[in-house]
Amino acid sequence: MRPQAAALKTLLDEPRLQVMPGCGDGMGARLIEEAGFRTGFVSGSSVSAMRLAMPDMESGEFQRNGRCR
Amino acid sequence: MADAVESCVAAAPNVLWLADGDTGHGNALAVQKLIHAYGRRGAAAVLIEDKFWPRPLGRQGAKLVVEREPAILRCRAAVEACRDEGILLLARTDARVSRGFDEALARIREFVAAGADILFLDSPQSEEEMPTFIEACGGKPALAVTSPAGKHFMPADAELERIGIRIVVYPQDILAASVRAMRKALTGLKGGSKPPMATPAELATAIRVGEYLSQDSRWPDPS
Repeated sequence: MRPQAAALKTLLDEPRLQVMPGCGDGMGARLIEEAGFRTGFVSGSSVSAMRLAMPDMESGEFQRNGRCR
Repeated sequence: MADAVESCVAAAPNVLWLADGDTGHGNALAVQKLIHAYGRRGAAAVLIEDKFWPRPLGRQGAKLVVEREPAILRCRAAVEACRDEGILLLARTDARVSRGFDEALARIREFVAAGADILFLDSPQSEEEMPTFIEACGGKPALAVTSPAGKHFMPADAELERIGIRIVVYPQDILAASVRAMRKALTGLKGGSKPPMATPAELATAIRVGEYLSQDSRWPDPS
């Protein structure tokens, strides 16, 4: 198992609630880390909103813009 | 999306990242390809859900799901790819709204049996449904997502912790705060009142100027 996955598994074994903020870009991610959160969510709808100002509709245009891979 | 995962991991390497894989965007092999792509970019876990793909149009945004058997197949493919990649799978069902709680619960049990590491039942409709969902996870961690529109039952964080939820996702807070802040700044540029903004020092911390300068000073160009 990769170290980040093992760390997440260990964290989730603790009987505590983890608050996981979502973000859509590097700045959001950076500020999540700065605020001291252990976990974060790369949210499809946030990526779509922050990058394209579009809803998360899996549209063909969005996929051409690099959504899929 | 994979490049967004890469950006977030690079910007915040000490955070453990769950990456949104949606439906996996295709058949079992597409699901596996997506998981490998996210895993290589540093995700600790990937979310895969049982919605239709491509999304059927003309349904007013209804959360439509594939039948149970294809949902299980998708989950099994995702589990295999996550094991190969050494990361965790978050299996999500959206069946609650369109198919009812019993079907959603049955899918959670199937996803647990298939080897999913974290479970999420979307849009629970009452206080009773959440503990039943947690019980169906069979000891695997259960996740809840807050609804900005308040469309489903969602207790406060303290109550979620008390009943045994291990992760609560706030998917939209940073986005919603960003939109408000950018609008206020632009209103200020048009002659309105200027909102409070990050100082140059706060900006420098946000983009980690100190780290870069310390590297910069280690490699002076020979003159």
